[in-house]
Amino acid sequence: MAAQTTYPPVQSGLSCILTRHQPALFTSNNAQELPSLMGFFTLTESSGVNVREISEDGMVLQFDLTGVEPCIANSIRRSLLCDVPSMAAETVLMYQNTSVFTDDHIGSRLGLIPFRADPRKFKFRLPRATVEHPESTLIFDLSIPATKTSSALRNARKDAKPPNVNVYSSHLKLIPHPAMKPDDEKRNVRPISENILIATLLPQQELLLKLHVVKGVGKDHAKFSPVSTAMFRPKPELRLLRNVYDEEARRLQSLTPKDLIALERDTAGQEKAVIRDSRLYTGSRGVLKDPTLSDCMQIAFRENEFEFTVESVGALQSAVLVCQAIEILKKRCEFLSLICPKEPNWNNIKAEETTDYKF
Amino acid sequence: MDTHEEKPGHVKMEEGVSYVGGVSKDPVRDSRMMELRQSFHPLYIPSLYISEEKGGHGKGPHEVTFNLMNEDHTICNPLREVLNRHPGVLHVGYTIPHPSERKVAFMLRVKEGFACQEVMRDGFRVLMDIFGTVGKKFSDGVVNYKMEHGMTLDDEDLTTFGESVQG
Repeated sequence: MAAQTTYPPVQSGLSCILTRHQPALFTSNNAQELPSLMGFFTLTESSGVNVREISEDGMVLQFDLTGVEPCIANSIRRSLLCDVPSMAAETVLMYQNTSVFTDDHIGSRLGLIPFRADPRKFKFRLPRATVEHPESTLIFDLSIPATKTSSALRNARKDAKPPNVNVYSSHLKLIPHPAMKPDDEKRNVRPISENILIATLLPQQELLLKLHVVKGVGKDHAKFSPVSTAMFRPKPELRLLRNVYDEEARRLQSLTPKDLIALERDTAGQEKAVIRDSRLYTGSRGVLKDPTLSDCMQIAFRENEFEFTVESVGALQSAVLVCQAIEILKKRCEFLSLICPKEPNWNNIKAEETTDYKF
Repeated sequence: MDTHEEKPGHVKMEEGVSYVGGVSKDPVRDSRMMELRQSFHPLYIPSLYISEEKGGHGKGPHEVTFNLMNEDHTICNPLREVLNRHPGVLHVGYTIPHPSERKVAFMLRVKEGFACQEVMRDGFRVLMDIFGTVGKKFSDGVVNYKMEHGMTLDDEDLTTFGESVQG
């Protein structure tokens, strides 16, 4: 018969312990202390950031964030996805399209092409702008004219005809604005990858269009999101509650994610199971379902400690994106606090003049 | 700040300059607001106003519903968490009436002796502080990592957080 699962006792520092049926969640004890105004203003003294890994080209970033509430971590993740701007194609001016694809099909494919451009050097395009300003828009040209084939070749066998034309993102050419200086960095803007297939044309089909690349935010359209993924999870903490030897240890290794359990030879000559690194835990709960091994390991998550993984699409490095995300959050808060009305409209409350706080 | 209409219980604050008689009342604040406004997408500029209470404005100055426009859980969840720890707050909560509208109804109820607007501003101030601290620690961590592992430091890593190029 299945063993009785008792609710695990509260342990300090852990927010959640996984059990066979339901995870045991512990609420934090912070809310029980009487908050004072000074304590309210110093909420982040114990927080810390530990950068785990930055890849060679800076595009993949893993870091730990400790000592903050989960909503702050979630805000950073949401801001990375939605609020950090990037450049993508927004308007397509189609001059000629005789391919099998519809105009909007090609347009939506073009919009998803990421561009290697630093969005901080551009301004947002105003919604009612009539003239394309070089500060806000870049114009690209894609022209694939029809390959001229003689009528003899057109009626020839299939393998004698000229091949289909593949339209790649490398065919997008920037049309520099006349006012752009010759050494301007904006002349180097191009799609991040040259091998993105946009369309396939028969030899007598033609595609002529112009593209407006503007700055936008992920909230508007997912093509503007500068990260391909930004995720976080609470830091796992795995602990072996009793010694596991030999045969059982090998079985434990097969039940847990790869490389999590290592076998070490201890002094008595037996092979003992040892947890190599808690962060290799990937979320499988096979151990808890096993009848004999379910009490040997405790899988828990630490409270208020998170591991982030940020992978950038390629325009900017991930570290820069995270800094921008946090800064945008800060600017939002500042803006909202500035427009929050100072004096209410009621007669019986006199709000005091606030002194300028130094940030 | 005096540009709202004099309807009872309804205070609508336009996020723009507050001109009284042709002269701006607080030029520093207005210029900072204009500067911040440039960094937002023109269709998604956040704004805030106090909603008109349906049951008459007898609820008074201690219980206020703020309507935040062009905002979502990204700002409101931390704000709610932070304001829960404020000593003068009795109740704080928020809801998004419909996900297609970018509007948040943020309810706040404070004790005697506190003003709702001041408490909101305290909350924003603390949130700015939290994000500032986290950002600074992050950029310090990146610089440390790069120096330890012999990677080249870009200009962006070396600028102090908060002074980087405006996005």
